[in-house]
Amino acid sequence: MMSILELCTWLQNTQFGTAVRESTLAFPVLEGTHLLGLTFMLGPTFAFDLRLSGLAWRDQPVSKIYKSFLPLTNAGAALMVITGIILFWSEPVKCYNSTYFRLKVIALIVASLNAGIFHFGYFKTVATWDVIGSPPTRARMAGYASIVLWLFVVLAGRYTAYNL
Amino acid sequence: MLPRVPPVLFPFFEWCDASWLGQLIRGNTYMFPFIETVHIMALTILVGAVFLIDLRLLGMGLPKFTAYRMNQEFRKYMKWGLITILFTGWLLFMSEAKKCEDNDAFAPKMIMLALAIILQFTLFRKAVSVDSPSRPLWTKAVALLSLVLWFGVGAAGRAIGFV
Repeated sequence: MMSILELCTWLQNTQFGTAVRESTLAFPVLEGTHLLGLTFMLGPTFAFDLRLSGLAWRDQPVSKIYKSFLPLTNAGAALMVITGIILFWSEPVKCYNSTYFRLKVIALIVASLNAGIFHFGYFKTVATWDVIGSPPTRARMAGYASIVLWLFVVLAGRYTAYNL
Repeated sequence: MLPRVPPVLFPFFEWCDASWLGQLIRGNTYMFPFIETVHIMALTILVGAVFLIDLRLLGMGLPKFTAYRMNQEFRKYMKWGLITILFTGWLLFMSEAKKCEDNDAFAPKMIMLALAIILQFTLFRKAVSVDSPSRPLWTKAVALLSLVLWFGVGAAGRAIGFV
């Protein structure tokens, strides 16, 4: 049973990981795509979270905003996950040793759980509060939490990149 | 053969670099990444909104809203996104102005940014000013140009750190 550090070291030394790390073009393009992919993933997410928190577009049904933005968010998330995995693969040991990267992963998990639990749970009752300007507390809390958690993910990601 | 910062501006860049504000931001390890994160979040909002509207102008994207309608809803966010991104961008510039003097990506980014902003306040505004289902060719051209310019600014911005 390998330790996480051993696994990271093994990943780092694979041909693929090394190739990405040493390529002049691959890393910048991947990281650039990862950052620009934020536009597709977090733009619509924040738009929905703002509605969910009752902070914006209170005259629009929650479900309408949800249906409009979700496909884009999913495509963006797929892009983030793919580029993120490859980026991690290219320098796993550095990421493992970075406190901010660990915090980023924790925040990612919590943010995803927050979204998943809400989507498959309380959101099922949306028909009863769809057109209310300020949704019920549970919905609003999920919205605020989402905004704060995703902002932290981005911040922690930047701090990781600067080796902080 | 990329555009470069004209040497006549070098004294100004050096003055910015040596300023107390530039030194302040450089002085603390966490400040630059924090300001940069705000810069990126503003980009998410500004370019995200422009992107969604451009998609509609091209006949793609979210069918429930027209480009006109989206523009009405997003205007406030695009305005504040732009203000925030310009302000944070200026702060970031102040802290590394000297590096930008001969950075291959900096001048191209500034040129594309200027063009993108001009386009935004002229043809883009015109393209989204009427709530009509028709999509004349010129509005599609404007949408395409808008996408190319804004993503170009984003890519060049990222490239500053690599060239």
